[in-house]
Amino acid sequence: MAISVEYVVKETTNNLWRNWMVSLAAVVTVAFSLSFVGVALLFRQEVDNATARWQSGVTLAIFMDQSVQSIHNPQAKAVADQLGNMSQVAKASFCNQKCAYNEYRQMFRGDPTMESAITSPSQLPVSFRIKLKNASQASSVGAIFNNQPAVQAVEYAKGEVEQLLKISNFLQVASLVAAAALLVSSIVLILNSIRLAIFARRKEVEVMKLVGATNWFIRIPFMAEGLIQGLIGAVIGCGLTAFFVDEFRKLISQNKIQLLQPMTATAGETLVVYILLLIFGSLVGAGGSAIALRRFLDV
Amino acid sequence: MIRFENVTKTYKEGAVTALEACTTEIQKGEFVFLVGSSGSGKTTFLKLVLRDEMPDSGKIWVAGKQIGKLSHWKVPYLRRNIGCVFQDFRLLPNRTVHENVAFALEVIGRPRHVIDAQVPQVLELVGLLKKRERFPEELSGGEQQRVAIARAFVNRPLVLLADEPTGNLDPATTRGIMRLLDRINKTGTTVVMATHDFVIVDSMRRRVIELSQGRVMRDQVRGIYGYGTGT
Repeated sequence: MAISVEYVVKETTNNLWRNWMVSLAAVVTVAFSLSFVGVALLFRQEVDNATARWQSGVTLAIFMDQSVQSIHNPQAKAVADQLGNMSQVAKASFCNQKCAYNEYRQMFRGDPTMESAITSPSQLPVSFRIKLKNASQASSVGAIFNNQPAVQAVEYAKGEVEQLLKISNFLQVASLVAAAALLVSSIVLILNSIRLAIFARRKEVEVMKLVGATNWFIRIPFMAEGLIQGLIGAVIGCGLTAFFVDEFRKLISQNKIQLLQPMTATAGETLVVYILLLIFGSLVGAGGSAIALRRFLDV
Repeated sequence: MIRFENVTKTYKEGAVTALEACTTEIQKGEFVFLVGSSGSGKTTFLKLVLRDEMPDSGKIWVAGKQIGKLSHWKVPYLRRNIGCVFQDFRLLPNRTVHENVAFALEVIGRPRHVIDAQVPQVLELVGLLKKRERFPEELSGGEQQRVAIARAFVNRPLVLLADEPTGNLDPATTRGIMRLLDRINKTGTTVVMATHDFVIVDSMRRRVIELSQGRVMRDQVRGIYGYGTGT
């Protein structure tokens, strides 16, 4: 016996229409549950990206003393060679006196006291600017150069880097835990609303069994219904996720929370989260219906 | 058509005995009244035929098959040979008369042209063709029971089980329902009807099986309701 597509389509649309209140409840439950999961997932992704950005943005600066004027100085060369051979270093550049002077002028533009303090490039030390592959290696790399000849100082944001890494680790774990917890609670919520919906229609299931419908024949329209509810819920959930994330960003930029400024996710990453939500919504919808039906199908 | 061999059924882990060592046989085309007071085992008898319940011991044959041996997935196919009518009609309130009857054919996968041909035919038989677009709540009790009978019979089952089908109906309506069941029986369908209504049992003079505390007390061809077993 084949189950006809016409029957499934007719039953599903009719039932969605007839029980629109219950359908609405299921859709709203799915939408909100999934939007929270989506926000948590996106948040995790953004923390991830922000951490990567902080890390790649971390610069180590090695300032040489006054004896070194250019890259041609043997001691400067030695440092340059050493940096070139280090696997932790992503990028190293040399900033000569002119570069230092330009930087200085730019930094203190409009500040006459500071501008008048340095009047020629020869007053400034040359330096190496180093980008590290991993921010957590800043202190160990710094230590290597600290006591080298002609090195005046190694500078990096010691405390800040470690603090930042600690916070981002915490945020990543916390958002992942939140996403998992929300996922579980949304499954429970969604299953419960589907169970209620099917309980309200147990008479129908009884009649179907009575007249000799096979279990799959009973199941498929309910599952199709759950699938559609889950899918609609997930689509709305994606919209809500976008809305919440947008509001969150506005809040950050309005309040100038520096730490969270670099938090963004690319369109591709956002899309992955949305696709996950859609898949999850339809699976929970269809699977939830099948599970909820089980107790009514026991022959 | 239906054969019970030493069938015992208890509920609540043996605390309540519904049927005890019940042995009987119902032939194809028979019309049988199942009588007895409440709790005598009538409904259990019908549920066992439908394989809604399984016996604790004993064997049951329906339409030539021992249904205790039937695998899970074959049960729906057994039920397609059995029509069912209940005291409370069990119609779906959000479907019209036509849809309620058509539903029974749809869920067993009958094609549309068959449904469109058979539903009006059976609605004509029960006299409700003109009300086919009505909803159950717009119909009287007797009319609702006719819809239920139409739904049970539209698939031309071998057996029609009726559990107190006239329990909620007045005497005049009851007579109409009984005429309908009689007509269905005359098409060759075996009818088993559990009832309390001694008036109809006595007037129809068909085979009577009386159950009392789960045992077959009496099995009488062209019987009457009984002797003080209570109504």
